[in-house]
Amino acid sequence: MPTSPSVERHPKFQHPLVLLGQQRESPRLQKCLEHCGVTGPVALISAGWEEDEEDDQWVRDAVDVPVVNSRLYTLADELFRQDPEVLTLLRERQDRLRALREVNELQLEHLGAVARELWQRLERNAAAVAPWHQTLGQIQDVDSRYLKSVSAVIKEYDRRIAPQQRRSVLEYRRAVLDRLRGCQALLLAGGHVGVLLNRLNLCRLLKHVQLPTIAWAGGAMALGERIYFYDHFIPHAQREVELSRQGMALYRGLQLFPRAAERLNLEDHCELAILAQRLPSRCLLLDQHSEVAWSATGELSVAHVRVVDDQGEVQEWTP
Amino acid sequence: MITLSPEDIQAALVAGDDVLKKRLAGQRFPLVSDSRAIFLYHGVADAVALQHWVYGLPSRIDLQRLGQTHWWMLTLDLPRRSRIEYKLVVRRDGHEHWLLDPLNDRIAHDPFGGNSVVHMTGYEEPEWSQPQTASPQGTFETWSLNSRALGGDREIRMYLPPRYRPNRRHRLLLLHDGDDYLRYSRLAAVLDNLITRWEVPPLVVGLLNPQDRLAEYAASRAHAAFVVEEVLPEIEARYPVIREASGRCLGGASFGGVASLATAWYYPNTFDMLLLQSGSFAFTDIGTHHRGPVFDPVVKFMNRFRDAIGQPAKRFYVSCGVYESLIYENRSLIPLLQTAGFQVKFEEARDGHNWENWRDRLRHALTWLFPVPAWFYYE
Repeated sequence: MPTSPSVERHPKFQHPLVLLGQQRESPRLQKCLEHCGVTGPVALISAGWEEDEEDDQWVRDAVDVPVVNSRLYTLADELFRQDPEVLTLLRERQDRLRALREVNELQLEHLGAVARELWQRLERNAAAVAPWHQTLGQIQDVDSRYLKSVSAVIKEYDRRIAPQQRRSVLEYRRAVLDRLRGCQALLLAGGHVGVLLNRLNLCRLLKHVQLPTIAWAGGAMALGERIYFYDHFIPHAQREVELSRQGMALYRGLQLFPRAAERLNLEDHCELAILAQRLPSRCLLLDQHSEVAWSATGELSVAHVRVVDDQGEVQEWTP
Repeated sequence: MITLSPEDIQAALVAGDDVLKKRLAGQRFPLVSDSRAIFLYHGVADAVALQHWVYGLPSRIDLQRLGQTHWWMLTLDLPRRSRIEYKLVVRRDGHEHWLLDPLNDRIAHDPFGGNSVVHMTGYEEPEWSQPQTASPQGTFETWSLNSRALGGDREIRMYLPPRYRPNRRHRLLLLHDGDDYLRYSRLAAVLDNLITRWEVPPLVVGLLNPQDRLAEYAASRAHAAFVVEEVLPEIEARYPVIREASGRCLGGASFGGVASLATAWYYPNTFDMLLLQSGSFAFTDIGTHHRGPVFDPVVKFMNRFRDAIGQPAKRFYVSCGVYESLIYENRSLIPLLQTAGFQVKFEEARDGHNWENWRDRLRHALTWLFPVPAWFYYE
């Protein structure tokens, strides 16, 4: 089990990077901007909120610098109107991904049930230990294969959409980049993480705009290596934490769980142990005051962050 | 929590009417403790009875007069987490009066007026059904349709959700007795809350209302044609809804459940999802039924359906109160649907055949039928 993955910012990203828990109720964005030395306008990416992306007054109220909304979502909608083929292809891709997901869910459901049964036996039956590790290994295999299949579908549609040769997409990218010219930092909000990633990828925003970045909740998730969805409390939601796809990989070795106290059953050691042992990265729980930050020179600092250990226990994290 | 026992009440009464009134001050009525409820009535009467709709108990249970006073009392054992609707029947001078319990301000309204309600220990009115003025709210539009199938104009009310966007493809829920769901099940508040929390996607909801309910909803082919051949195309022409079965759900309660199942059965592959609450799914294995002539077409349909289940939908949410006589018909539907390979969620509640029972099930129903967008949102 990879219990101590190395935690690092992507070596090619050499700006301050701050990952936060939820912000809307009690934002600390201004403080973070000050730590990053940002005194000028900042770009806000709130495409995860889809049609509500420009409902951003609370962010403007929370910082002392001008905020420029990237309109990443709205401008993509305009692109789809001009070039409906892109939307058709993306919807087709979505259907393909949904079909993969359905089968993946089935596999995880059964392996998860076995893992839970074995967990109950671990203390009283030593014979359960090896099968427990074996089952978690199988879940990891399923995850790896699933991720490959998802990436293959995404690559296939990238080829078919051919964004580099498609005028409408190039214009979209130019329109977004024009808006962000002169901004000194990126603020990345949460929302629908899949939508956010789709728009970030369509625009290639993070390739073209490298600035001090402050991301929170779903925005912070999107910058990781892998995207996992979770919620122990929604009625009828699937029980298994779901691996969705690759993220932007601006940081490594960490898996972030925003609103952990509201969305994960932190009393359930079995579920958390499965989580911690299944995922290749450290499982960090983010709540309102949590902060994980890399300075411009790459020094890591954390505050109010908890980690799930292999036994499903939750502890304060000190890297 | 109860602080008084029947013995306390009797003892206080011996000390005098005023003493009892003082002891009762500030209490919520009926007095409830664990699985016991004490009903009290104060007034001049020849007899007082509790009229309730709990199938399995005598429908009328007498309150006992306390000595020669004008106090009447009944102690009843009712399971925890129950929610019971009732009235008091007061007989005086040869006349009978059905009353809401004057001591109980908890009232459930329905198309027939209202009933007093007792919440047993463990039952809580769901917070997600409470209107939230600060949250975004859906909007309503109403238009009418000249129906060839049913004859005459029909009004259709539409609920357009928070985050309704003309350029999106929304899922569609069509509900029988739509206005009753709005009035008695707080449907608008439920939808607003669940949609705002991303527990269900922003649904467009079509609210259907009958003119001759017992005829139209009793597995009528004309009604099915109205829904599928007239209402559905009109909604699809007016609103950005997903134009395939996978985005459509049809639902209703009681006879509205029958209308939903029958419509989906007559028009297979039109709706992938069905919401069936306390469906009046009466059937016979042999011989005749005893539910009265309005059920004749229902029994005929249900017998045909049970014989050849077809492809009415793929995903079913079925609920029923355990205090309804229909619990047996609903329970027996489940293995039938499961054996046919459909996805089925069945839930029972300690409640009766009423709109608040149906309201309380809506969160589980809608999150089951319309899988959870909250899964993807991280604020």
